[in-house]
Amino acid sequence: MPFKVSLFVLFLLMITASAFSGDIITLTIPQATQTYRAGDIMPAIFFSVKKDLHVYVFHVNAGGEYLLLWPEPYHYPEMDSFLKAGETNLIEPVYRFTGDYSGEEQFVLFGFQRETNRLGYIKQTLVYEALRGRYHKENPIARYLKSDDYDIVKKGLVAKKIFRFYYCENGKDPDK
Amino acid sequence: MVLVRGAISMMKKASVFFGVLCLLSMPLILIASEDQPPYPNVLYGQVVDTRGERLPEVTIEVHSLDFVEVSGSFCAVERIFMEGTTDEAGWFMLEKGNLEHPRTNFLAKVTIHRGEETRIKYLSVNAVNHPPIKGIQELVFDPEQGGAMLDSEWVAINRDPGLSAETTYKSEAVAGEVIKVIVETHPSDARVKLNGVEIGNSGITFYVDRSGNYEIELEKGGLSSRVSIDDLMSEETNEIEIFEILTEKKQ
Repeated sequence: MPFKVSLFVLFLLMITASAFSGDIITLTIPQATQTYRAGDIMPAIFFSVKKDLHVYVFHVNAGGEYLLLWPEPYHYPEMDSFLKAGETNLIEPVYRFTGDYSGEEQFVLFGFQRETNRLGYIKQTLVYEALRGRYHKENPIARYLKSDDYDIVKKGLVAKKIFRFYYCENGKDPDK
Repeated sequence: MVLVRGAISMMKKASVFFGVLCLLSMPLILIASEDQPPYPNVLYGQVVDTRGERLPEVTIEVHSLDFVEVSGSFCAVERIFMEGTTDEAGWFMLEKGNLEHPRTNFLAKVTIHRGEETRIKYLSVNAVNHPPIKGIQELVFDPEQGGAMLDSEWVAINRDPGLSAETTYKSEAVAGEVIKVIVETHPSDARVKLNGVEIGNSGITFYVDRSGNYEIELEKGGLSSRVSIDDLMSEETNEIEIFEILTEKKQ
């Protein structure tokens, strides 16, 4: 129950904050820190949109590889990326950091006005990889945006949010 | 660093506005937790020819061939499993057809239509997992052959993990002495029974063993008709088209 109450309070804070900002997308990580270490649990990620959008959330590791966190394939096999204006989503903290190298990493969120068939294909491929815990070797969105399949207006990228952090595999703070 | 998924469920599409969505998503959660992943409701991909040229604005149909037991004889009913159209860049989104109970195992082929032109390709697929389903998502057609991948070649799709790719349905439609039957009616969408077994609604396409004896019963509302196809079969015919006008049942 307290968790539900805190979620509600957090949500109120989020919509209040977004109401006074010009951002189409709000990305909130309440338990965020600048550094994560091997064994740490990935923090919960909240995101909301001010207008109807197709949203894709990635973890980008220090090697520049991409893992799709949203749309989430485990509970939602229909892989619907669409969010209605005002809707808030939560990526629960069920991932654990691991790996034997250090470096800057990111959570990246892209918002598109439409999902073209090619973007749908990219999503489906990424979901397939995510189900197997595989990272995509390159930035799939950048490749999509560079392609000549559709003009840039039809591709419809309207928002991008990045949360940067440092991953330290040996538990040492890189600033110390 | 990489993220490793923990034992607990990852995420909810937690509409804080509408918590009821969580309840609505329960069937999906149950489906997802099964060993065999469900077929995706949509399937994306691209169609190109062997020169790498995109094929825009073509209609794609993935047909399935379901086997029906009809009084000991062979019968296979053709149904549209997925269908869609490519966009200007040749990318498609296929959506599920009107299959009431998608089978675990079935035979499939792809047809592509653009105007009068029809191209057919069998699926070299053992679609145990989804997606991408190899063979569907990146279709390549040879324009030198008019795109034709010969006539309707059916191959097995075997999604039962307990069976090997070879342990599939025997493609009797390919190997056997079969005849293709297309049934249309007026009024349309009538119930079709073959030797007393309901196999679908008109217009329907099915394949039967040439050596069998078959009677088709058609019924819609108070209207009905009965057709014997034995008389229509001949050595030269590989395909029979039946258009039947239903009449009132005699008391």
